[in-house]
Amino acid sequence: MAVIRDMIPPFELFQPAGVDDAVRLMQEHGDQGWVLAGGLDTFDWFKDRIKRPSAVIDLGGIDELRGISAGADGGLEIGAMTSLTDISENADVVGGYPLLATSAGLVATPQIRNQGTLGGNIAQDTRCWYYRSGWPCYRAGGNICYAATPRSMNREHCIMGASRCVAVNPSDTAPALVALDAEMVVASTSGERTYAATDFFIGPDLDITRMTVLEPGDLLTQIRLPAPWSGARHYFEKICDRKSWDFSLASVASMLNVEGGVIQDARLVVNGIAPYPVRMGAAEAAVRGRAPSDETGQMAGEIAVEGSRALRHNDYKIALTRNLVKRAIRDAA
Amino acid sequence: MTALDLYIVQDGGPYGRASDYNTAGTVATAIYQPENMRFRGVPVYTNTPPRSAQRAPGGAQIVAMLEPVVDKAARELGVDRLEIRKINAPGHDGWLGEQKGPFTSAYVREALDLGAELFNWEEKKRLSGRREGTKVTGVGIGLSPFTAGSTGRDGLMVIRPDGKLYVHQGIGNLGTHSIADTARAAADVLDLSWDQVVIVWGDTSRHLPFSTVQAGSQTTHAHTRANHAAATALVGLLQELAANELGGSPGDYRVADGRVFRAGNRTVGMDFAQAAFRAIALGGKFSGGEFPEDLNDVTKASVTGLAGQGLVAAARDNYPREGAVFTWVASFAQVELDVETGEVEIVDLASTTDCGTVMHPRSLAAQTNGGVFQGIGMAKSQRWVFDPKWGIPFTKRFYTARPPGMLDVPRNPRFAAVNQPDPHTPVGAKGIGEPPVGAGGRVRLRSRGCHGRTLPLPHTAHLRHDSGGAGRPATALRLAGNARLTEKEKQSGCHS
Repeated sequence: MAVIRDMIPPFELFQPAGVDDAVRLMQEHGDQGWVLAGGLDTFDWFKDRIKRPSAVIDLGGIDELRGISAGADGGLEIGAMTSLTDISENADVVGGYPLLATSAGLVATPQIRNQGTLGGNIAQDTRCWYYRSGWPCYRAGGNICYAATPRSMNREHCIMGASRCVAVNPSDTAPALVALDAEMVVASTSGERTYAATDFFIGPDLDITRMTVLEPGDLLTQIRLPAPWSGARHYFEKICDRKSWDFSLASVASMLNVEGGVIQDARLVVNGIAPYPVRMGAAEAAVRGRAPSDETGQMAGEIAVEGSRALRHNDYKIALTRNLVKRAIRDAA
Repeated sequence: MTALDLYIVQDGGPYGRASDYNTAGTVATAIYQPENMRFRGVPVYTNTPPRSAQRAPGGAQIVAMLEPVVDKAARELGVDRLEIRKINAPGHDGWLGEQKGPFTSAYVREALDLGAELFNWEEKKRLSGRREGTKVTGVGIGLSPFTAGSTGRDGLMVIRPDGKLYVHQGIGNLGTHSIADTARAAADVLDLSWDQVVIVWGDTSRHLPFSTVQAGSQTTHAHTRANHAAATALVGLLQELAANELGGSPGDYRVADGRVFRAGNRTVGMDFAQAAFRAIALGGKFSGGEFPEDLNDVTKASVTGLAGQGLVAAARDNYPREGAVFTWVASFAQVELDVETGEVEIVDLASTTDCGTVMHPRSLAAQTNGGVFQGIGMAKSQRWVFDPKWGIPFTKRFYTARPPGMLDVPRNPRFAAVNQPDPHTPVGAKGIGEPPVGAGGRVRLRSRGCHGRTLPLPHTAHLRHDSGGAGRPATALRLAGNARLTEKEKQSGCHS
């Protein structure tokens, strides 16, 4: 029978009113502390008793982490605790950053988007079911990847970027943010620092226990978007087994600057195929100077999957990635 | 079908649920009426998590297995897919099982014809294989029967001094309305306004009769019969009571509108409240002091508990029934497959049923469409995933099991019922709960032109990377009807 235990182990709850208090508490409790945003990643862990923090720091009372406001140089600043619903419906986001609005609007269900936050969606842990079932894998501090054996159930796992661990990044908004050249603002007791979105997400070759640069004591506070590309074409598509409440098998986000029928610049990011959103740099370079046609898309798709390697049950992801990249070039509007 | 050679190996899990394969064989005979048949089945214990059926155990599986074979036969013979089903479908003289037992009724061809008209099959089938951009259209049919009723349960009801009829129901309330719908059989027998009926259900302290489990294959049929029997007994008691009090013979009296009265003269009679008071005063068989000996023990105890509270009637369903009660669902679907992503959208869906008399049209539509949706989910996304080495299940949460949501089905699925009463049951109603699942699952697969070897068949199963680098969706090839499948594509579960 399913091992779901609804009794959450006891913990000490802290509800700071400001970022400074939050990072101080996080520093104080270290790896025994747990940051609670919307709770949608958290409570599965807790109910399964796989994560047993002694302290939970609830960000729900920190108003400065919410909201969407004008940023420097015509961009936008989005608080990490801003709900996905607010992001998907905000006029400035919809008008200037349709990639983000679309991707946020495709997360799970309306109820989850009301409760879920952008920061939580970005920073959520992988959904590898071996890992999330509490198996002692590399990512959990063990010495094996159960998902990469010849008999493993790995239809949802990665085709590139693997390094012992083959889990994928589950975020819908992450590829959009990488394509938009977003910056992540991280606070700690040592001060504030920023990361380009493409650097914020890390693979197991850098740290097999994390999916982002966030270490214990680090708090993602804000997402900064640069001014949108003028007249850019966009494309976002999420492929999953059903149309609501599902994580992507693969998703693609593209932003094209097209002038005179020729691609001047491109951002092309695919998620769900690696432990991090993959920016397809070689494909981006290859499409510059070409028309956004089916042929260009096909070429980009072929380049995108070069070096990919399927596991036992996920070779469809190679074809899917190739076709998504093609559509992201050909059908961007 | 001149011959059917069926060999089923059943994965029974660690504790062995051993009946599905046998049911599957019986259902196979029901659908196709094979002139000759050899059936072999082997249930196997496996080192996998425990499992249990959700709906139509055995039936849903065999429909998924055989319907595509019939489609293949239709293609080879050059016969329309609708026609080949009508040719093989049973009529009222049909049979099923090893003993070739009869059906109580079988309006299968009528259901297929109704569905074909509702769906506009003749027009829609021409769309099969059409390609527009990256979308390929598929059109398919699924036909699914399942057992739909049992007998031998008890009805129990009381007319209390407030003049209302209290129908005691041992079945549960799953939100399918059968808790009320089956009580309506009693109201109809008594010609009583529905607002004068109170349904008593819940825990056994409320004195409930021996009942079926709450299940689509049982409840509607069993408890329309049981309540019909008890209501008929109640009419007899009312007539006898009236004759005792007002003279004449019981046959001189009629029951309607909350009164028992002399035929031809409504002024000579009594209302239900008066009848209840008289029954309590008379005692004995009128108020539960005596009861039929053939009642089930649970019901006897309940009658004893109700004794003296009004005019009490209880009866066992002893109506004759010659044959197996089967309900049928036919589903027709039009789907669009995106050949670049493997995603399938169901753009049109129509389902029809032969379930006897329609008791509650809206609830019947909900049950049928809901079952079809569940079948679509089983064919497409709902999965049972466990590690084959360690036997540990992973689909232990709703979102990991992936049943379909409202966005995965058409916004306006259409529905109709043949609505012909089954002659072997007094109300004419058969259950609806089980067969839609098989129809939904099968129609979804068939619409994709895919003879699935495994279920579910997620869209990604059609999007395989082959060594040539094309990554062509197998289904698109099948629908286009113009190419051989690669070995990879054959292995993907979509093959002829």
